[in-house]
Amino acid sequence: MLIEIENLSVTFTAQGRHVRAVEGVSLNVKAQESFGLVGESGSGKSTILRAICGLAPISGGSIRINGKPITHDRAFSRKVQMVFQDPYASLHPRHTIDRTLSEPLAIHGLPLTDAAITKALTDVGLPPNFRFRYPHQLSGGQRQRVAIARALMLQPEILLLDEPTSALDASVQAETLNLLSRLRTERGLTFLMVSHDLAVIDHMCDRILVMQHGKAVEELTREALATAQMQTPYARSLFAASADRMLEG
Amino acid sequence: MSTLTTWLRDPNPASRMQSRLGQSYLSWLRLRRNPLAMIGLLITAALLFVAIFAPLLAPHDPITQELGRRLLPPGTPGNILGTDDFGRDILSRILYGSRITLYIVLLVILTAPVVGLIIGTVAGYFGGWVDTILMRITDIFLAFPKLILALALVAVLGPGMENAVLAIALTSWPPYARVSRAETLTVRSSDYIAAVKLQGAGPIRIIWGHVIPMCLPSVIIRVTLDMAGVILTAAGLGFLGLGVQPPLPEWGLMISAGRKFLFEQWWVATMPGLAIFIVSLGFNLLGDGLRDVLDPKSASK
Repeated sequence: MLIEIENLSVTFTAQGRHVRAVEGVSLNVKAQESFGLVGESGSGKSTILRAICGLAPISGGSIRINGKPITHDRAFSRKVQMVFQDPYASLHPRHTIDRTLSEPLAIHGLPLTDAAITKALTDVGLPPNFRFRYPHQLSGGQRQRVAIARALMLQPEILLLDEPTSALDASVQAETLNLLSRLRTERGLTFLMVSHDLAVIDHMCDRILVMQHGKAVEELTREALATAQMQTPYARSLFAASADRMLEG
Repeated sequence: MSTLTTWLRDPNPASRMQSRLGQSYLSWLRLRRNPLAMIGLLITAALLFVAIFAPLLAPHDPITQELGRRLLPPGTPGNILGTDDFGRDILSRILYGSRITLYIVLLVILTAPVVGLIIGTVAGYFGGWVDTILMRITDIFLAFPKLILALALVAVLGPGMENAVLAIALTSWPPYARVSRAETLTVRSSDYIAAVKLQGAGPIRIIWGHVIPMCLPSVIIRVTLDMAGVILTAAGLGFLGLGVQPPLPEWGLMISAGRKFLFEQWWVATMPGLAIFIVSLGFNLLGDGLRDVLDPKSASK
């Protein structure tokens, strides 16, 4: 198993109040697998990704990658990267695309060449002459491509995707999902993907975990999803809510 | 010219330098659309010009006394703005005084905002006890009236231009710290900071490369708006005899000297007062214009 999460709990403390965002969730992701986390807003699915990255406080349980407990150092950055939900917020507004993409190389002391930046852009389907543009000169889909290119600069094995298409409109969504699928097969990436949209998950993931109120409800394989073999009523209702769109897709 | 502007306006620059120059050019175009800001820029440029070329522009020596020609009214041949109580040409003294004003302004610009920016961003980024300690120190400085604190400092250090600058700088950093801390708090939890953290960047790189660029516009605007205040504080210290010492032609000092004759020979105090007024106005107008240019929200349109 590449990622092993065991009994993970995340508790936020604000002004003396404790909010348990994730309670005792366990999941395993195999290498080169695409694993989906599904649930409504506030079900704690994004918090799991943020906990893996060290952006949310872990109050219990463990996260292991390749059998080793995670440490948030430079080696971790080269193994795990994340694509954020909102491409309007995840790119620095005063940095050019060039600066955004060179930053990871500069941090890790890797050779910073023109060719590396140009290749990163063409790999995600952007023309090289976008290099010196600012994020506000790009559309939402183009920005998300830049965010994907940035996440891939350090050639990680694992890509955490936090609703990578929910801020985009439908046609751009499909393009971005296809780009992600292509990159996954080309580079042998492992995806851990969060979405509230079962249609997206169905398109992308081999296995999914349904979450509600910070707890795991049910784990499903893609086959189980396709044949609507949910065991729990919550997973069934979630499926029913997006079944129409899945049939169209 | 036209090939240069097309090169500058190229939406797909070929190099880092071209993209940087292109951005500066666009900011310049935005600034040029604002007539008041252009007046401010003109006044600031004039101050710079006068300060550099004071020896060539001034008709008389600013310090040599000529007691036979004391308190001549404005319009006297050879002394367009009149003379003061020691027979020194007021125009020449104002022109030379611009050097002192500019010197003080530059030294304050190079110290107070930098200190404030660093303290504010560090406090805002780290939060917790670092924030508490740094911000309480800032509060202590803010709680004193600026001029009183400057007076106390100068009284301890002794009067003089450098000490006046030090006193002004030490009393004017807290607002910059407050402004940059507030900006940092809005920026630090954003996804782009999370993304660069995830890439393994350390706090120095994040603060310097990612947080400070977001705070810089508001700090720069505040600096230009505060410049008028700095000139006035320097003039105030000069007026009280605690800043620049006579016979140097500092504007505040000149007003102080002219106070005795304010009703009979009004020009002695009025002329340097007008100089302070015009320069302060220039910095204020420029600051207003820069706010429109540098504000990231308007820049993205």
